This record gives sequence, structure tokens and C-alpha cells, in this order.
Amino acid sequence: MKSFLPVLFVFIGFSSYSQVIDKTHALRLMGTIAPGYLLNKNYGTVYLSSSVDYYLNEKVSIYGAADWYLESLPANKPLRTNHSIFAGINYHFKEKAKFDPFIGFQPGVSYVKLRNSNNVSNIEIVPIGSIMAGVNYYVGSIFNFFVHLRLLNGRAVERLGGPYSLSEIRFMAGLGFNFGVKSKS
Amino acid sequence: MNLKILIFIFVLLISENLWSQPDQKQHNFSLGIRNTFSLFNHDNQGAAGFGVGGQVRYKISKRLNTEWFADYITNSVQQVANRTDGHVGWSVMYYLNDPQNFTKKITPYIVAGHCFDFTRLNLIAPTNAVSVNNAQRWSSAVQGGIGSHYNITPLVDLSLAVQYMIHFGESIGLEKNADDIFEISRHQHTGIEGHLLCSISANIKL
Repeated sequence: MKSFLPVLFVFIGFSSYSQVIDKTHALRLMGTIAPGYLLNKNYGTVYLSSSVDYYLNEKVSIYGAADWYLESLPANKPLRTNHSIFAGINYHFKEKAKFDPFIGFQPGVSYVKLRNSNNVSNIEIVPIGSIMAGVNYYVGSIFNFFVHLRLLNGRAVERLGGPYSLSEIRFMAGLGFNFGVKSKS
Repeated sequence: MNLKILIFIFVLLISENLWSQPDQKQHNFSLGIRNTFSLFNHDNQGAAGFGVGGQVRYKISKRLNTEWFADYITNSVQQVANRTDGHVGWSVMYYLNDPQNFTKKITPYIVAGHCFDFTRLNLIAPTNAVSVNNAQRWSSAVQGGIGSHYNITPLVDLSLAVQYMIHFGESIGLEKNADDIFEISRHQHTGIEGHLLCSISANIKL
């Protein structure tokens, strides 16, 4: 593993400088299955996640995402539904590079149903705060690979016995599509 | 008294606009989205609220900006009730230094304004335990505080603001009755008590 890391860094470094990727006014679309983990409840979640990223310039993009809750892991945990939408911005550290690390801030809302002790679900719209970090790796002008990590904060309050924490970490990775990216060697 | 101070500040801010020249560049309109924390809510037995919202800003002179916002905030009250607040309002922002078209990284400001507030308090308890299990009210409020932009680029900023909001009109809260059961109470009072609103937002100038 230790011998592999320098090779990876050299590869990424070489790739970043060998090709110019102009992302200004480009659009990126992504869709994936995203696992999550509720930090204060100690169980997992699975989402169908999709997002769109529009680059205002090489440094800043407008970002929107929608995560459709599929199931908890293991099944039949209190969280029955937790669909989320987010909107915000991403800040990209490198300009015109294939390797595109970024951080972002995206508030949002979640549509939440919780099973209570009587197995009755309360429906609630929960405000969410989230920060995101990740990297995109552009393969030419059409495709990109991405690895994103999102940290969320929120809590459902319409529940007897106190609020239910929805603080969570979500992991997204996969293949994305670009529109308007200009690739030059 | 506090209202007079806020009105005085507002008049000062407006009068500044009369002396200043309009900006040459046409990026005076911006859109933003934000998270809001509501702290030290006196109607709410100390519970903190968390919310989401957005704002539109229109800059009317070099040092004067306006913000038109909406917030949706929820919180838990003593683990037996929940409270939902909706804010719709506006603020005037006065930049303490020349913003220089937001080319500097930090742009501090003072802010003051007014909003309309909708509050719903819902008691989560067996319905036969209390006579009233929810209440709602509309009220008006004024808010003022300080903030700063962090300009990522001249057209994009992150903003952090801390404001104190004072409500006027009826308040609703929780009280225990003679049987030691929580009930919703209403009070007709206005005072300096309110709550602290902290907001962090991302904004893009169009």
C-alpha cells in the first residue's frame, strides 16, 4: 500500500498538468447509490443520489442534489423515510485541471417519516445543514469520476421523547457526465 | 426605547444613501441560501432551533445593501412539544468599510430590519391529557446585529451574521398546570426578550 501511494500521486500529478480541462460554464450530472451512516444512531442508510453542478467559473460552482431514501441497514430501524434536497455552492481548489478537489456548503430540507413506539409514522419537513468535500477526475470532455463525502446536521422534532438526530455522513462515488467541458492537450 | 434606537439606526443608514454615488458595475442583485440557528429563545425554555432559508439582496449604493429573507426553523421544547417558526422579512446592511466591489476577502457590516413571524407550537402528548394541544400566532419583530461577507470571488460570498430579534405581540409557550401536566399558554406582553439568530449563507451576485 505504501509503495502504491507515491505511484498514485505521480499519476494524478502528471494527469493534472498534461491536459487542460476548461470547466467554466460547464454542467456536470451525477447519479449513484449512496450509502450513509447516522452518526448518533449507529446504523446505516442507503440512498439513490443525484446531483447537478454548474461551474460559474473555474473556482466556484452552483450545486444541487436530491437523495431518495431507500432503506436502513439493517432494515426496520425508526427512520422510515428520509428524502433530501440540497442547494448551495462548491469551491474548487484547482483551475483547468483534470483532478478537481473541492469543498461545499449546501443547506437543504428532508422529508422524514419516523416509526414511533406505536408503529405510527410522523411526517415532518426537517431543515438540514450540510458541508461536502470531494474530488472529481475528468476523463476528457464527456465523463468524470467522482468521490464525494457529505456531512449533514438536522433533527426531527415532532416526536414524543425528544428530537431524533439525523446527523449523518453520506458517501457518493461513480461516473458523471459533463456538458460544455473543453478538453485541450 | 429599543425600537427608537433601531429607527434611528435605520434613518442613518437611509441618509447615507443620499450622499453616495451609485455603483458603476451592475452586480447589485444576489441570490443566497442559508442555515439559521435560533438561540436563547425566551418563549421556548432555552431550546435551540435550527432552520433553513434563503435571501435576495439588492445593493442600493456603495455601502448600503438590502436583504429580503425567509426562514423555516424547527425546534424541540422540553422534549414534549415542537415549535415551528417562519420568518419573512427584510434588513438593511451597512458596510463598515468601503467594500471596493467585494475584491477584499472580508466585508464587515451592521444590519437591522423587520420581519413577520409565524409560530406554531404543537404539544406531542396523548390528546386526552390536555385540553389544547397546539397553538399558533402571527407576530411582528425587529432585528439587528453584525455580520461579515467572506468573498470567495467578487461575485460569490459566504456570509456570517448574528442578530438579536425582538418580537412584538402575543407570545405562546409551555407551562405546567396544577396536575403537573404541560399545557400551552398565551401571554400578551412585549419586552426586550427575544432570540439570537445566527445565520451562515452562500450568495451569488447575478
